Amino acid sequence: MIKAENVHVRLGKRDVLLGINCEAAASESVAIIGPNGAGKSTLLRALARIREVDQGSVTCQACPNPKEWARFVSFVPQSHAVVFEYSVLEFVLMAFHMVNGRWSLESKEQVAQAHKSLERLGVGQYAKKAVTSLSSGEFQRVLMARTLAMKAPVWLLDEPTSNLDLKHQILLLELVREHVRAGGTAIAILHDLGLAARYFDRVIGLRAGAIYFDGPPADVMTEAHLSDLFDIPLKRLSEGDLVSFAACAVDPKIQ
Amino acid sequence: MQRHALTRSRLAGYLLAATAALLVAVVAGLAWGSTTRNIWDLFGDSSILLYARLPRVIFAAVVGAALAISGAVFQAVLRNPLADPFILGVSGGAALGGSLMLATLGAGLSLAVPAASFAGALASLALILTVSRWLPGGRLSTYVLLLTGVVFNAFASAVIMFLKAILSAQKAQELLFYLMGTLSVEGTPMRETLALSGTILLCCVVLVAFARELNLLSLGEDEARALGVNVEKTRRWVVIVASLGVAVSVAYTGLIGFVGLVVPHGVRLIVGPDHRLLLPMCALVGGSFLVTCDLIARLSFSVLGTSLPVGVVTACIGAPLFIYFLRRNLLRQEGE
Repeated sequence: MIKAENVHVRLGKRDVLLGINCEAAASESVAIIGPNGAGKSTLLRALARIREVDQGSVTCQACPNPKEWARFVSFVPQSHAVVFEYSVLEFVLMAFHMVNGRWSLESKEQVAQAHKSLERLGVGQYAKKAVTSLSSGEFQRVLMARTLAMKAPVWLLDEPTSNLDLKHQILLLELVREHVRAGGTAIAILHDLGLAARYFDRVIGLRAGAIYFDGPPADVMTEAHLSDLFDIPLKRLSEGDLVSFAACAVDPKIQ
Repeated sequence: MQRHALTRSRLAGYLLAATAALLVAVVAGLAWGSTTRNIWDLFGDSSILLYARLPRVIFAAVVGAALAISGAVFQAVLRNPLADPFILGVSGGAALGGSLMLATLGAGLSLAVPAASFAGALASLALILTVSRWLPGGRLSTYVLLLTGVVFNAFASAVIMFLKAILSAQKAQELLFYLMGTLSVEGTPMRETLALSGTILLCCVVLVAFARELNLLSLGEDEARALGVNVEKTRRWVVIVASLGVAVSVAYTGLIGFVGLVVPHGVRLIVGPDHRLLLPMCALVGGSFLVTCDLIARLSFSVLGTSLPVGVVTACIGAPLFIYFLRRNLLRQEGE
């Protein structure tokens, strides 16, 4: 569905991505993990066409015209400061920018769709409130609701659970799973390795601008791989279907 | 705050109310002046109405509209509710460009002065943005943007003072008259009044056409790009068109400050920040605001047989409001 071929990105004097090749098919979810500064956000922004690539290409099967990219590929930022006091509903309705004409307002169906998405994320009661008055977790759910309302086939999520409590982390990832089961594609940056292993079909480990591993979680998320990727000894803990990874102390003498 | 989605009826309701307010202001502007009389008598004596008051009221309305709408546009593009063509230094740049042209060619109010104002406005905006980006950590923060604007305005007035000092008395007088921020446009041919109005109307239409993109741009570059806006193209066009509106206004009326700050803030409090409603409302309310300020300017000192430049009135209203908005803005940033 969406594919990056030999993607190089330079930011200032630094090579952030060094020839990335990756793709995600329809009905597939991919988690990107890796240490800080590995290039995860840059890769996701390159896929969203927010960052231009210096070399290589990003293509989407469903989207023949790059100008229409935003209709097919929806990017959910982590969070950002909103300066003006748009209401939550106005904010979510901006999702329809690409589909509406220059002089037309949002249709009744689109407004209903926006309300429905807000309800799904449990923030329906805030529809008329200012986005600036929300907590960071509530705002992150509103950002997700905007993407849900758009109905774009490809979702790109930048740490979508970073500000959420446990219940809403699961709620959001269940939504991602539902989207993928309905034929959609999702690529998400995650720091919670347990959630990456549990909810995603494939996991890409990114280190210093290059792909370190790429495959189903059961195959690639080994203690050895992850300890090496994050440069800290990690232990895999499992309880039935649930897995988690615990970081051990960096100095082996303290263990 | 409780706000629904923007609907046709809400849009029409607000625009009709603002149009009605503008009409009231225009009628008041026509009726009152040094010789106050019944509006119906005035229509009988068409010379005052047609040659003195009507052009002045038209000027006030279109200049108010241009300054208010460009204020709102700069605020969205720079994501800074305190941006205003006057405070940013764009008006100062336009005045500098116009003054230089006036000093070198002494071209009166022909097209050369508006063109030079436009060039001055764009050049100053480019300079201010480059300098504030170059400063460490500057990237368009409120402080840096406002301070570079202040510094640029001070520099522009120094150059203008220098021009005044080296020019002949007659030319210096001409320059002073040009810069005063006044709407006394007697002697400006109707042709030019109409050309100015047409240009500003066109600017307003173009800016309103970009209203949806401005909504997204006001969320930030990445957001706008992710939702399908061609950021560079949109930003370039709206900044050029907004600067053109400011520049032609400054070319004909001199420096009138704070309209671009006070009107968008007030309108935003009532209708919210959606630019599809905000921009046309700013044009209409900005027009009524300046017509009213001009009326105050004309009437307040009429007992002494003189009138104030309208810039004095807008500054008296705008300066305290600016401090209030700055405080509100900083308090909110602290809360984040």
